[in-house]
Amino acid sequence: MKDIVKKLGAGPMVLSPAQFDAFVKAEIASNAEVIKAAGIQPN
Amino acid sequence: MRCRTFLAAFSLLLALGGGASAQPWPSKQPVRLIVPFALRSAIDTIARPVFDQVSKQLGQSFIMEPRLGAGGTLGMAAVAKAEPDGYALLVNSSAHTITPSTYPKAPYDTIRDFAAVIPLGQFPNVLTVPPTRYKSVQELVAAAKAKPGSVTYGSGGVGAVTHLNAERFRLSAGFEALHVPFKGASEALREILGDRLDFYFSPLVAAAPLVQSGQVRGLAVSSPKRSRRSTSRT
Repeated sequence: MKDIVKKLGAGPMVLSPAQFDAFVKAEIASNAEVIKAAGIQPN
Repeated sequence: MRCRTFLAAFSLLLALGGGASAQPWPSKQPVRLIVPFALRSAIDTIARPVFDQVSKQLGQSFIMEPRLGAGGTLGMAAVAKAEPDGYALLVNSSAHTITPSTYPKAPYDTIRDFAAVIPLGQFPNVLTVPPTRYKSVQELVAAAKAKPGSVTYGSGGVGAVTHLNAERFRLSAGFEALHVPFKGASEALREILGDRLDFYFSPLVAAAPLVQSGQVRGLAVSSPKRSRRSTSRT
């Protein structure tokens, strides 16, 4: 399965559900900072 | 709490939603994979071969259902409203972590209503420019700083990951530029090909053939490591 992902140019992410959940929360916070700094208006 | 299943852009394996069940999963056909983006989008491109393989290994049917609209929130809402039994899964991109800010009135709570199951992978963006304009990131930044607001950059739409990557780059480099949103990668890349746009952070899967053929120049990749798909002419 990793080979399929790599062939498509993607990097595999090996995370447990708990780690993935933490990753999602961190990404939401990080993206919120960029959106605010760039002045992107919410819909 | 009504947890639903969430698969971010790339990988395999599934988990049940929040509803406890005595039945093993999967025990009925099919599993619906809600994809909030168009056919042949980056997320669709990677999800299909992955779930073809998962289907073979589990002997389970997976049906992909595109649910487009409102930055992906229509598809997300469809899964949020579905029974949390593991038979309606969301295959999503980075939009999952962007829309809480760009669509704050969406009819679900991204953290509370979805259970993250497993990432399918990371798909880098490549910073593309017309070959006639810039040979390096430094040249691009210097041009943008020399004439503030004169440089244009494309995206797959306001709030798309391609937009946020461009904003991260622009803000960290410290220059002003004009944002030109497009419907998707093909439209933005067409403008790069036509020498009408200065830069665009393209999904690698869309830009790689053009970079490798020399039709567009790839200056950088938004991942910690150099991608082997973009190597030949970057």
